[in-house]
Amino acid sequence: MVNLILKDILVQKKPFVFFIVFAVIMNSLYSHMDASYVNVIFIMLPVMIIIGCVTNMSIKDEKAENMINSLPVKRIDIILAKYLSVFIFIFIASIIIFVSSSAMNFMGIIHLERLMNFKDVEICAIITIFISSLYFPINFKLGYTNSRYILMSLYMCIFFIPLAIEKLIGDKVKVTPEFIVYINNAPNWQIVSFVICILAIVMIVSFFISYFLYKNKDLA
Amino acid sequence: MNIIISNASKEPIYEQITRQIKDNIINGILYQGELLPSIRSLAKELKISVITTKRAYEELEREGFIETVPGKGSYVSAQNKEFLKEKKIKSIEEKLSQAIEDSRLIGLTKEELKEMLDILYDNI
Amino acid sequence: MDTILEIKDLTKIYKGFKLDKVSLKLSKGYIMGLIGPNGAGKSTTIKLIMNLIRKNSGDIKIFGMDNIENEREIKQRIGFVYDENCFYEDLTVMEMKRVIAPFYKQWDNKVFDKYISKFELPKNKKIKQLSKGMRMKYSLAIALSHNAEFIIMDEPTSGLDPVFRSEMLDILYSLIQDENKGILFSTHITTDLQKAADYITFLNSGKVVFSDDKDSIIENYSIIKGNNGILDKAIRDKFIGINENAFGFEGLTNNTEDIRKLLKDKVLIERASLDDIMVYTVRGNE
Repeated sequence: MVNLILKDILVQKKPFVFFIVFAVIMNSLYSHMDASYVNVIFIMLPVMIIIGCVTNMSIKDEKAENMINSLPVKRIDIILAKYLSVFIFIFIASIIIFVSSSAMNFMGIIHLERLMNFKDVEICAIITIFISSLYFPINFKLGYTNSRYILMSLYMCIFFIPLAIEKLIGDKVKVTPEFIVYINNAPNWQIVSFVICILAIVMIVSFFISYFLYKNKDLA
Repeated sequence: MNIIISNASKEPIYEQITRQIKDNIINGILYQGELLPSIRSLAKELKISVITTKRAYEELEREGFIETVPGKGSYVSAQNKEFLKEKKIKSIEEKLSQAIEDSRLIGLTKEELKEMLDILYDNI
Repeated sequence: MDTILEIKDLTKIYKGFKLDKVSLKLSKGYIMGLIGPNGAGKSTTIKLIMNLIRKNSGDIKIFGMDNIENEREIKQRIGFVYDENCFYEDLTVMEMKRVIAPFYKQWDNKVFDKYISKFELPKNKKIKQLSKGMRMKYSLAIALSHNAEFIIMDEPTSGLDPVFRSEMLDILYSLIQDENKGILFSTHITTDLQKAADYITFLNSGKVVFSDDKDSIIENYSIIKGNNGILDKAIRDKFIGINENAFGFEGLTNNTEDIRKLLKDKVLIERASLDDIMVYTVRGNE
């Protein structure tokens, strides 16, 4: 099991370098970041990295599928490892953004109003776990090549849905970035626990769907 | 010991091996008690199936030329030289008997037959 | 427990193709070749053994255990070589090993290094930069580095030159010196099996045509050549396939003795190669 997750990380070597460079560049584009931008950057960037890792993992695994399934593992191990890898990606992406932005802030290259904090990580986690839970069953059923547009759509939705909602609802409720600010400032533990429960349920349901789809799938 | 396999020959490969090992034993190239190569290494060297070499060795064992000790290998039988000699003698007797019968059929005398034997023996 | 692989009545149904009640058995210490034309079901059979696809019915037992129930345990002892490169191409030779090695309890780095130097594989080159032959050797190095008792290969030599194929056969010969190992390899290049295999299973259109030791097969089948006038119905029936041309006929039979008795000196009797057997069986009387 650990081996499977490890493999998912080891394949990300090249992408990691890209992500770090990307993070540095993005950070430097905003040399003075006030609250609204900071909130968005600290969420958008890690989410991009995490989804990038998931995409890369899916591409690589599709090619090596026959080999992986011939190793001494069961299908359920493979499925479980994919879900757990997302957590690892969240962790790594958070570190990358935190370190790069804080370092650049410390060196004076950019000015941040605040450093990245756990709230940001939580929101990233919520978004990416949600996307992954929606995506993985489709990936297990169809493979990467047939489902990549779905992944792309899910990913783009996360950024466009708030804007779309804003357009629909108009000025009555301003969403981005105020929506995110609201969540940031709501110290209500009940809301957070509630969200975590929903996520857990979404993830578990997704896992079972993936399991039933992949368990007996014929690999080419 | 040399064993040459012909793929073109009609003789089955295991027979070619059996025959050549027998010859090697008769010629003294393989001496009594000598350890033969294992069926697997023989198969590897000759690049043939191990089933073939196994069959050849089983044949040789059946005819008394070799003995197989489990876990150790196959050895050239002690008795075989006498054994083989006797077999060859028997075979020669049979062939001579046939030659004699054929001679009688065409009216060749014993003297003429002996003369033929002298000439052939010296010239072959 | 001498049997490495035992397949009974294995059936897999696809649209337009059916692997129909395939049965075969491989014991320790032997090499079995799975031959057949393209599309005969060889890869399907191997994928069923490795549980990459699900069977419709039948039994597959490896090391005496059911291949699905004891999947993990069995796969620890299996080394596999597939023809399409299915490694992570961006990783180097050593990096890929670091990904795979932890999966196997009996992984032996010394053995792996020995094969890498024997095959002269550059340790720091990315897998995508290796030639096809080197990739195959790499697959083999990985498959042989965890003490596997059963080596299973799916068309490992297709697209590779005769020199390379001969090297690979030598490697197989060396492997099988260990009586506890068994090798199954599928190919449509019959000349590879002509020498190396102990047993041969011939698949055609999803069915087993025969599964026997190579010597018996070669002894039973012959190519008969003769004049056109000799063929009558009774004799034609004894042939699996006949090729007639303006100057005579050539046919394959597995009734060599009968033909010999019937036709004696009127025909030329030659040993049939596996190629002959495969082509005549598949093409019949075209």
